[in-house]
Amino acid sequence: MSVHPVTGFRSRLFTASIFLFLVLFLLLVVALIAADIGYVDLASVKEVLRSREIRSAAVLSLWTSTVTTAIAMVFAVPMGYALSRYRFPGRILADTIVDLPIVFPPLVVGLSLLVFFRTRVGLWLESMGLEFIYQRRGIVLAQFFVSASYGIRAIKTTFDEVDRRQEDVALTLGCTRAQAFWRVAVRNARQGIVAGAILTWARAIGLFGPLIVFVGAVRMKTEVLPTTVYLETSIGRIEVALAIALLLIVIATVALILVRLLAYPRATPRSARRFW
Amino acid sequence: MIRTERLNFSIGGFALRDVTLDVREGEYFVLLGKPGSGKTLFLECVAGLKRISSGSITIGGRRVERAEPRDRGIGYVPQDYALFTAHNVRKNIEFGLRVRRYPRSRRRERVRQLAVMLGIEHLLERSTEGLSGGERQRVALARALSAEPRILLLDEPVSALDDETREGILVELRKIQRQTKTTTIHVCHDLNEMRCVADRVGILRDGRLIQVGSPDEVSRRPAEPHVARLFRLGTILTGTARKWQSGSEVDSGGLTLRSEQPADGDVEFLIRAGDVRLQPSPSPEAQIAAQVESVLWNDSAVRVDVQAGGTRFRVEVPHGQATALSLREGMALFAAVPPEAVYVFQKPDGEGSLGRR
Repeated sequence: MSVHPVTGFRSRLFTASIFLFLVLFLLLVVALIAADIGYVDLASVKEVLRSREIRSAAVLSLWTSTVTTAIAMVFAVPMGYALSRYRFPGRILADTIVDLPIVFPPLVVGLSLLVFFRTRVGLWLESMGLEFIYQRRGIVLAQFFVSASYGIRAIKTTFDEVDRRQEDVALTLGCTRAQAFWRVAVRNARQGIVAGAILTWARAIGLFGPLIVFVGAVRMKTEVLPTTVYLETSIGRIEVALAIALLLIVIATVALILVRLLAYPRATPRSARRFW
Repeated sequence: MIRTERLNFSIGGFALRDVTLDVREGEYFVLLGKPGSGKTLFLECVAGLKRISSGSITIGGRRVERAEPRDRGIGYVPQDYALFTAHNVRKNIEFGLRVRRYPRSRRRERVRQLAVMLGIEHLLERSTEGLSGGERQRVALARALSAEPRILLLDEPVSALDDETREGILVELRKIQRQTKTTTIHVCHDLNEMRCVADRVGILRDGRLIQVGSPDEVSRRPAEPHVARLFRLGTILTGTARKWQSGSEVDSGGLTLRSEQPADGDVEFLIRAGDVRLQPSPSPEAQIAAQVESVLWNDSAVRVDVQAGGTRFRVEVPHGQATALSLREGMALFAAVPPEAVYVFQKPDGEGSLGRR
């Protein structure tokens, strides 16, 4: 006995056409990576793996993108909840502003940050010891501005889909609003929060444009993997640049698979059905 | 126990207006109304899930309209039960006890007690996914009762269930309510559901409470034609009334009927379906020649729509009598409509009324 519906020729044709797009996209991505692998020689890979500077850039990439994601989630969870659950004057404007960094060219974020830290407020912050320009914390700041919106958007959408009545019931069972938020809303939205974190992290680790402008590419200090790729390309060492890009792809793939496995132990949603 | 006084609340284009209601301690009160009449909103106002715009809510002698839901001493079962999908059945039931920091042993004992009472011991370690409608309802009820609330608010608690499960749950609800003596407000739109459980019933229409009383009182003296329709008491007609002895005589179409109530002028009146008798031949009581238009057999009686003197009305006949009469469409019969079957809707001053809604 099968729990799946009977599928005739037309249903199979429909499924096949859907999968055609999935397979096409995967083939395109794999083809690109395969081309990179084909171009890179073993010597470049060895050089990348042995280089202290590149190892440092890889560690810095991982560290900053993870810190950025953590800070972004501190903002994204309450912001997503506020935008989803409350009606307040200017909500549509606030919702739009949240999306702005997504449409901003990333380079502009770097320029804007540079300009901001030359304003009175920025200079005052610097005078208080909060220096960002050409500093490691500047990497996190730039990554945060570009990538947090992805997390906020994903989490807001999840809260939209979480049944609000469960929170109402929790209030009648003795919860304060904050307890209902933590014990019910956040718990129900946890998969969406993980998805938001993944999006944020993925955007942050691949960021390059604003970093070059705002923190530069100082070896062993502010250089992250995407900037290393740029630097190697600019001096004509394409093989090495591609080897670094492959390293970045491996790190990101392993990290994303690990998070998915940890966060979604039951990976198949109830709505899923056998594909054939 | 629960008193709302001139409670007002508006949302979108809808408003609860001046709802004044007194629910007695230990009472099972049903708020009946059509979908969209404001029943759920009223319950949410009492629960503190909606902030009322004016008026007062008193629970157990204490004004609570500014109190948070958790400080009102209520148990709430929403229409779709809203079970916590992230928790299993046990954790759903003990959620309120955990929040209120009950010790573990007391929590376990209370969950066991409720599970036994509601027959869901075998479900305690199950996920809420895959529970049947009846099981979900029981879990939601156990969760609402866990912290021994003074008041239980039930929002259409059995509307999603099949007939058999619904009847079983309603009997249990009544039993549990008697055992726990919890003052209960149960909102629904189903007449049979109300009759199964209600000590008293309130009728809500377009955000206004139009009548409160025991089901029998409301059936005997419906305040408005809307109540009579909701209680499916019979056929509402319009006509002209004039005084006759201590009551009135009402003309409607080609029919002249007598009522025990005094009335004069244009009126709306009810012909009680259950009080009209049908006979195969005329008699001093049954003088109205009628033709059967349709016959509908249901569980409790046979509904017969008849045409008499250009007027159409409904008669309810017991199954045995319907069989004896061999009721069929097009059949000619004689109807007896005694004065007690004709109820004229009264204005507050006792005069007959038309369009007083």
